[in-house]
Amino acid sequence: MSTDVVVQVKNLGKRFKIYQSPWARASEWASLGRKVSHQAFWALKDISFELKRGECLGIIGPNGAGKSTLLRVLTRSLYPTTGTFQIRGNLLSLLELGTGFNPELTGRQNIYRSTQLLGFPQGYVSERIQDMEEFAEIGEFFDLPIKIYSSGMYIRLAFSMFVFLKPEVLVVDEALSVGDIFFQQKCHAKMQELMDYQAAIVLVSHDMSVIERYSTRTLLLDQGRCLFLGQPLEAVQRYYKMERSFVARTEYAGDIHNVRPGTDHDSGKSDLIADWPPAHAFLDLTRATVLGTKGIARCIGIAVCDDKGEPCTTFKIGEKVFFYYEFELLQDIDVPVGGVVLTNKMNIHVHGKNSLHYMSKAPLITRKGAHVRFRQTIQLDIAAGEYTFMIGFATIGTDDYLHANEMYFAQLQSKIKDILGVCQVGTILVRESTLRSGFLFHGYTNLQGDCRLSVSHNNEYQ
Amino acid sequence: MIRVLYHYRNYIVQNAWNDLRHRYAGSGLGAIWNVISPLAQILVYTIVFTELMSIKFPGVSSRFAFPLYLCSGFLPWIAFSECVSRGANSFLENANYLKKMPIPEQVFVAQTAMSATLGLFISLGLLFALAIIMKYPPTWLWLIVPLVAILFQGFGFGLGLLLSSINVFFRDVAQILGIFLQIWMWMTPIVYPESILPERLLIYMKFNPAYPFIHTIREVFLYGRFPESWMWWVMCAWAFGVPVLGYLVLRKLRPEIRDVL
Repeated sequence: MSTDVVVQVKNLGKRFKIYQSPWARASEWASLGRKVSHQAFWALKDISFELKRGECLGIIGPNGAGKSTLLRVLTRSLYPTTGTFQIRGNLLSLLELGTGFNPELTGRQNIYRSTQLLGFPQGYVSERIQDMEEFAEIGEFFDLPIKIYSSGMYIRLAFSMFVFLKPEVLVVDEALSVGDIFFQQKCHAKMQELMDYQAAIVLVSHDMSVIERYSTRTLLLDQGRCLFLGQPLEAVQRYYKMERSFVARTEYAGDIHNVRPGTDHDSGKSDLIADWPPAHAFLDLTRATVLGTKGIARCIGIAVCDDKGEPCTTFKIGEKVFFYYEFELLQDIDVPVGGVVLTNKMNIHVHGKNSLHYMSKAPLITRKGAHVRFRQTIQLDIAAGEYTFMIGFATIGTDDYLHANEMYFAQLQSKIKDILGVCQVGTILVRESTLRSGFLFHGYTNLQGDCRLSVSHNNEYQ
Repeated sequence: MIRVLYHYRNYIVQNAWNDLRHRYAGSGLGAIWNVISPLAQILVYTIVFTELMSIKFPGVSSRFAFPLYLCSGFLPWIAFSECVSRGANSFLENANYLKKMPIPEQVFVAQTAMSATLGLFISLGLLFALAIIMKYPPTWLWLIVPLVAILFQGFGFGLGLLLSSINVFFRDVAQILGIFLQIWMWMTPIVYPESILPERLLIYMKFNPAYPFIHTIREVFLYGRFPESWMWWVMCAWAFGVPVLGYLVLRKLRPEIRDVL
């Protein structure tokens, strides 16, 4: 292999044998391979890639896709069933953060022992132990048995050990998301430093922003197979599409004529939404969590699209997301209300708005059997990151609806009766935008505003 | 295999040493328990055999000779059986490490064997001291005792290695082993003298792998006789053959061991 390639993986496969009981294994052994009484489970199949110095390979995929198995094979704590892999130089894995520690030994002794296990010579560590001690910032505890450490000290010790060992290949598995924010920041700084001095990194994460930020290439795994290997952005988009699996639902009656419009109080007719997305754009609702009262309405479909009406879950800051959702009424209700709530990773409701807040026209009475469709457009003027959304369906009394204009928010909210809330249908990812787009800001949202400046050289301000 | 064990030598020795030191961590007497428990057992056997059952030993007249006789067989046996039974469990015990780190499997068996051997050396040292106190003249032949002990432990390491790979897949092995070791001990002249065995049973001792080791240690230590050469051949065969066999089994099963931990 060329001198730059530090990790080379060829047709790697890992099969687990699943036996019903130890007796099944015994009988298979006794038959000397003539009888097969196990089920083969391929956790990995035909994985090939190369990794050069200074590259970072991101690995993503749903739970059970084989990400951890792949890492365990690379760290040699599992033997591959097929294929080969070669690693040039030292491989260090944050998987094993502190696993080799002996509670009876002091921090210093543990560092010597663990590094020895990882294959680093004693002299190598002696040169760096001073730095490790300073980085760990645990003072005199460094020379006390680690069984008396707090869990925070434990992590600090383990991490400072890794900081100063300079491996050619580093394997990171979700380690960036443990610990407090300061620890995470240290991890991130360390990642950057490692990449700067040309280590190769294998990074597994469920945090797509981390993947997009660090990886130079991304491997998308599903059920042990490589679905995609290439540009991180494309891999992330494919991942989202895959995970949300745009299942075409046969029960979906996408026929606009089924909708029995109610009577609009202004024109006597509400406008039908013309550009309804095709059936395949609608999300799989089988795993959705539905909150609220049963028997009043049911959710027929939810779709998330871009401005061209194509199903989409990745947007840049400032782009518009189009939510399409439809409910069928199982009882008569008054005025229907529909809305969307966006929630960020910290479970903060970043934005929530319903058709009433938009002052959308709605029928005063909606009969049983009617289908109510909503198309809600939201300009994503919010921080980059992953957001979950909840689609809500509610109703408000005819009188209250007619007087809604005069009400304040809290008063209006108290009049709205929630019917359904559909959550865990999917997520949308908001990506960073460039300065030119005008959507750069600190914090959660971009508030409307403006900033000008002027300079005076001869004190005209007086 | 030898290269791997050599590479991890520091780890093995340090862990074995820590194991001895910390096995009884938290107890008042700490590491001293390593010595007290076998001594208590020896005391019990001595009282039962000499005081209650008054068995006579040919060639040794003193009534204090029995403890020496007993110790010279019993201490190596304890170390051996610990080596085998803990060795057989070592993969399961260290599953945490095996699951996450690329340490070769045999290192953990070697570690338990080393810990048992260190313990044995300590108790042999005490035994020699006891013998000198009891006015047994030390001879150069005593130097052979540790050598035989190492061979015996090598055999134990091999058995542990063999069983540990199998025990991962069939966890009944460790249970059966516990019973088997008990029976094995009583089928070997350890707590009772060889002389009480009838002639027809003594022939079968050739097939008892533990017998040559125990027999040789006693011959050397108590009677000052250099063991016959065929004894050496038999001991070396067990001490080197079984580890090789264990390693072959491990190599065959290795790809799957970490899968089932």
